[in-house]
Amino acid sequence: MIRFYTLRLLKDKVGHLILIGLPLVLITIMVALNEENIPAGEFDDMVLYIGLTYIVMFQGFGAAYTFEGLEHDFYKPFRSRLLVSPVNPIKFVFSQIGLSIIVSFIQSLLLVGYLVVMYGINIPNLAGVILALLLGVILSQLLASIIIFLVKKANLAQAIITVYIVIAMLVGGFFVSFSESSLTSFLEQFSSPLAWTHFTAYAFMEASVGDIMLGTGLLVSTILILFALTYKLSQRVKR
Amino acid sequence: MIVKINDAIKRYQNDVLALDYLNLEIKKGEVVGLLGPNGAGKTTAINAIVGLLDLDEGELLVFGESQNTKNRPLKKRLGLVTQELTIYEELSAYENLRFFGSLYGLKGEQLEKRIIEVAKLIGLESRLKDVPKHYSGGMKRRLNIGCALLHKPELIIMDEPTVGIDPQSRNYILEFVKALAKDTDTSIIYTSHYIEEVQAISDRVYIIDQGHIIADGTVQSLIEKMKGDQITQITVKSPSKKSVETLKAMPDVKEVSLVENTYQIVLETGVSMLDKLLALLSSETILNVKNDEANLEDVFLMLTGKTLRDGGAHD
Repeated sequence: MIRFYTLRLLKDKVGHLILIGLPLVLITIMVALNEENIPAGEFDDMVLYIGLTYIVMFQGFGAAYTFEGLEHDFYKPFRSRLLVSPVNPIKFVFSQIGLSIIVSFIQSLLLVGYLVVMYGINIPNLAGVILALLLGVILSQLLASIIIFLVKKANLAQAIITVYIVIAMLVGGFFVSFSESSLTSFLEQFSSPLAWTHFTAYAFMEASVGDIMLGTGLLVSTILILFALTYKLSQRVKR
Repeated sequence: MIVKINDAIKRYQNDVLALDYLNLEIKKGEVVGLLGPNGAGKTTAINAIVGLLDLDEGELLVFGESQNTKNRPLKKRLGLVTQELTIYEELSAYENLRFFGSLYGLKGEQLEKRIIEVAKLIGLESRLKDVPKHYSGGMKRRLNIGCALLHKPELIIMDEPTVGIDPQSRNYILEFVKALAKDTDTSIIYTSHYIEEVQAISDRVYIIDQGHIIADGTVQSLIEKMKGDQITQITVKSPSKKSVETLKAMPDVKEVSLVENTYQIVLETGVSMLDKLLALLSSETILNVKNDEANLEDVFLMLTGKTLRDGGAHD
């Protein structure tokens, strides 16, 4: 089963191209546009900020793997074929989500690798940053599964997650910087799960133990809640 | 007995009665045709047999065991060929077969051997490494069937397995189904909108309408019931229900049904009353008149008042 789901995910060449190629191009363009205006010595910080922003944003878009896989398996005729087999349907659900997490996480790692190799930046506490990104990926894919179980159509789910991502990025001030205040600072750090991932990655880089605990705590507890919801909603596919 | 259904009742949420005291039996090695107009309850019956839904009332035994959505071990003995293509078109036929085989616990050499056997059976052994999106419609259909055969099911349910394919591929599949039942003693439930397919391969036929069986028997015995009956078909421009009633009231008329704009009139043996029928319909614009001996299609038509290809949606 794992082999089949892996092969199926690998076949989605357009998906990979969009989810790796597009952020790569956007990071490159945004870095080039901002390069001139950045004071000497702050280049690495700028690249990291832009890079992490796009990595987190495209983790959200990586939800498409889960949407499309679960829609194909449970909201199209394939469902009957799977449900007449002696395999517990929950295994299909979590195989799909699990492999979507792995593929989306690999994409995040490739983008981190691009930042390091292309711009030669040093990411402090890289392992911690990667952990934050992994938690972000897990959260995004579980959120995706809940949305598809509720709306049952991948294109509708995609529209919902796109609106969510755009609002989250705007409210968090990732695209347009707001004037600094306690409110904008709060929004940048806590306004959405995407902001939490960004915040937690920075907490690791800055080795701020309190923020690490807060960020990972938020992500992990939300993941646990979403996991429980996913499990509960996945029971519906049996019907 | 492979399948035994006693007084099955199934209601859907909108209170539609999909199965209404359905009774059905299938013996080992039998090919049973299940015929019914759209919405008759065929798919509901099939879904109950394969354990995709639970009955509200009644008894459903498969291999002597009570069948329901929770009886997972029983599923190992069943194979379902779905009406829609349920193969993954981006992955090779080999990977599709491998996946479905693995769902039934096949692995290693046993799985590889079985993939080759099934590929030979469905005539795709030379195209195993190709992806189905490059296959013809008939080849995709054959792969769709093959995916249900890997685990050697003792009961196979084929829900319109020949939809949308060319006559050559259809013949291939029909011959294949006949051989499968004969060579392996597998029981097969076969549904189709093509009555001639069911007639060609079935040992017995069940005709289902409004959730229950309205006739069953061998194809021959069903036709025998109407043997000698004269079927007169009169196609008119604008048919009316009033004319149906008037025709029904005529002496020697056994049955009348209206299919699209054609009156199907069954007359007693040896009766010739075409002139009277035409006189009765003289106020209507008659487009065509046809006289025939009964066949399975007529049996179906007379029992259900509908053709198999009526309407668009499947039940």
